[in-house]
Amino acid sequence: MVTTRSLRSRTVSYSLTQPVQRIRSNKLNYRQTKPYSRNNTKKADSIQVEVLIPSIVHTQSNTYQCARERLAPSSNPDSLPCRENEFNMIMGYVESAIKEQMGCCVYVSGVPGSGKTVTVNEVIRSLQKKVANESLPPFQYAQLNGMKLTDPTQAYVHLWQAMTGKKVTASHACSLLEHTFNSDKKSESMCVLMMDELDLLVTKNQRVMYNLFNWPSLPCSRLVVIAVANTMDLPERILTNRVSSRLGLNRVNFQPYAFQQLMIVVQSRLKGMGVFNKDAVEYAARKVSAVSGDARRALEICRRAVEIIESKKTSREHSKSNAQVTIGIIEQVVKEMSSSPTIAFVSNASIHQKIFLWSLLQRTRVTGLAEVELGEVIAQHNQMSRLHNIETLSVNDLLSICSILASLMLIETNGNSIDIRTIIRLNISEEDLIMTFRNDAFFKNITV
Amino acid sequence: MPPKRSKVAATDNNANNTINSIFKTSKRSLVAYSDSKLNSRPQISNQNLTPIQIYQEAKSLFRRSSMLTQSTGRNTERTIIHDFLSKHALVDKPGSLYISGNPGTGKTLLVSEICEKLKRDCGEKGRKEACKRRKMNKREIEIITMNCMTVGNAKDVYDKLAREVGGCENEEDAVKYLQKVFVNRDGNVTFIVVLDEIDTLLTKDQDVLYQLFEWPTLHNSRLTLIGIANALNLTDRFLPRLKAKGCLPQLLNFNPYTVTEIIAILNHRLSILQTTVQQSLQPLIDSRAIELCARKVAASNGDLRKALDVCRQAIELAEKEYMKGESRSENRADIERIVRVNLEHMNKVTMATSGSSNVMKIRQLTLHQQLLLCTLFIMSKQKKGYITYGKFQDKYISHCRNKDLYSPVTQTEFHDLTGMLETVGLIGITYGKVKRSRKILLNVHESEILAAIKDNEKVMLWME
Repeated sequence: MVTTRSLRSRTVSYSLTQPVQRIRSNKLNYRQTKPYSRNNTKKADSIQVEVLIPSIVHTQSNTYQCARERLAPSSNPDSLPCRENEFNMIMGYVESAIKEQMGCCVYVSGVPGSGKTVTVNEVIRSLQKKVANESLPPFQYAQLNGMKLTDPTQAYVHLWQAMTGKKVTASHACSLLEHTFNSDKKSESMCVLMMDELDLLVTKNQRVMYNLFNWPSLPCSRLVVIAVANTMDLPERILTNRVSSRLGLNRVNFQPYAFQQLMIVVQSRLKGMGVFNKDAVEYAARKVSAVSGDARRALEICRRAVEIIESKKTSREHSKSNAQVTIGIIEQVVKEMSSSPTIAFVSNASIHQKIFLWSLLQRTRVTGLAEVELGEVIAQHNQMSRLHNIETLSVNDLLSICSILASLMLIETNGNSIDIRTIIRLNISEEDLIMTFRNDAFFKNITV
Repeated sequence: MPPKRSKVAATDNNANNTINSIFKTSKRSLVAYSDSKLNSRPQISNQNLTPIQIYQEAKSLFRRSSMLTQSTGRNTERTIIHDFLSKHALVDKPGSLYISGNPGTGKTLLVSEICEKLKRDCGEKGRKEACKRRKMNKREIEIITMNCMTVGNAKDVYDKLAREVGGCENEEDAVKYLQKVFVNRDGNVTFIVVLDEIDTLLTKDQDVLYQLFEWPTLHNSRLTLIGIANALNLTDRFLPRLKAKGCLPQLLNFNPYTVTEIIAILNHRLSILQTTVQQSLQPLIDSRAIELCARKVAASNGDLRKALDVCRQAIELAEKEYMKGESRSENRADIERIVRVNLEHMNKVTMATSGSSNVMKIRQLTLHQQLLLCTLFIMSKQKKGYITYGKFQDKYISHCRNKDLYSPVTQTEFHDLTGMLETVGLIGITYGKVKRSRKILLNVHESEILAAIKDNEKVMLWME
């Protein structure tokens, strides 16, 4: 008899000890890390949506909302287009290890937004399905994120907690785990550990990583470690010889998405919804793939585009019944997302701030050095003001302007106090500054 | 290696108790399952295996964690360790041995194998001669194996050893307790302590290591110490006082495996497979393929783990090919039609595992990443001295404007792109407080960049 209890593989979720969120590839887009669980609320939402689409005739606003939800990077997609090869490779490694009841290590690498975590989660989900069908021995699953650990050694605590449900101190957990993986217990079930953001577990003597990769290679251990990180050759570059030797050669690398793949990714999420013009999706995909190939960013752009079209529609009431996202809107979004705040600040700065920056730029041009003494800039500033018939400022006022700009990180000073002898330098791109001045009404006619 | 005791400890500490209780609970739910499913795995007695089962068996055999009853090779080292133990521990003369060697040269495996054997011998003899020994006042041998990587702080090794040796209650005076146990005229137990990865015990003044290596040299000592680490000259470099004191350990170095040794080990594993499945069959892996694998691995670092991994992946490749053919022909599984691992499979795997070249890496970059790399290439050609982040960005933007082919990416995207290039390892960025003054280094050779973008017209046009 197989009891149901033994079949249910345990999923453990942790509350954050310190709510740390890592800003991933996109500045607008915070990574939404959440432990995988079957009763995920988001997932439940998307399932519900799927049921609703064919049955009920939608009003337009509902479709937009639905499209937005599906485009959210955090929503679990129903399928993983364009990642079948990687999926099969990881699946092959983990499944054969579980079948043979032996430990193994898998190293997954790829740039941000190439679908590493989501693919591994999908592998685990389909393995758990197989467990439910009794075609695979049951296993325990634990997910760790290097970002969520206050200290690398906390990894032991979480692993031990996942295996037994008990919480102990880090050093005690380490010795308990060591003992468990060394004792020959054939009846012990497998444990699959996924470690996201592996590079954060690197300590000076790499003890944590050594142990985590050493345990699977012990003769009687039942541990499968799936390590996920961004760097492809992390084992060779950072890890010591003995750690990379234990990590082994089971490696899967995720390439950034090409534009055709990004198109498929976006379209697979929008299946059955006529929200997007086909060219618009292609344009967004091409824009992203030329720069980073980050799927999160492509989704973010499309989501923002839906938001724009939604707000347009509500403002104009029922003018258009079937508004679609067009290339123009995507273009607008891309501009909005990639425009840097510094340029916006400079073009809206006060006239004296602008003159100050211009003077600094001028001084660096004249001297040919990046670093300029503040006194020189003040002289240049006053000369410039007099030339264009603008009231000159006192040195004190200019010092305060300098400190404001320094606190905004537009310029960089050495030392904390600011006086005439302070050496300053520009902290934004010269080219950006020149472009902004070129578009400025006052500086348009002044050659830079 | 974990703390292991040769004798079952009567005074189990807390940790062992919890572990035992866990196993008890988990066993109940799993026993039923293992009866029905796990035992369906092919057993040795089963002679009619399907090809898929053969592949499975082979794969698990080439897993590095697969346990073999007897490892092959390393005969000289084996005799040296045997001699050492018989000279010291068995005749109750203290001594120390330091074993060095590259990762994956079988240091830990060999030592633990010898210890296991010793344990078994002692166990058999022990049962027979238990009474005799007590009368003759002969000494018992206790083996403690420990991996120093699991020790948090170097000094914690004392506590851990003390707990292994006899369960010292007070952790404060673990050193004193150990001293009493190890250096004891009247003691009737001889200790063999094996410390794996002993170099993690290095501290500023090395007092832990000095203490450990000193114990065996003391008068009336009962300790035989075996230290294992990678560094060849650990004792010379970090422990110069040992020589002065005259307690230098015996040294033993494990050379990286040579081609013939790797071939012998791989063939040994294959022969186990032969006995498991039908003997009449040819070996699953072609002998030339094995030689290729052995030569490749021996040329890089002689790491046996790598050789096993390569073989496993080659078997997986052959299995995939077999599955493909199987689905097409739809015939019954025939053992004669099994796809053997040939030279081609092995070549594919060794190529893939030797790491992708920089040229391949550059070809796979996105357009703007390539443009950035080319900018850096141009800058490094034009100028001597270092390139700062700010200058790099300015040059990129001005070059984009001059060429008027592509509009430059914005600042945020620029940061992302440089970060990605660093992640891939094509450029290096030094750390600095201010981003614009960080230095940027090109980590690939110029010829590699040129070779990669040679066929890419878009980038070439931009470069000119």
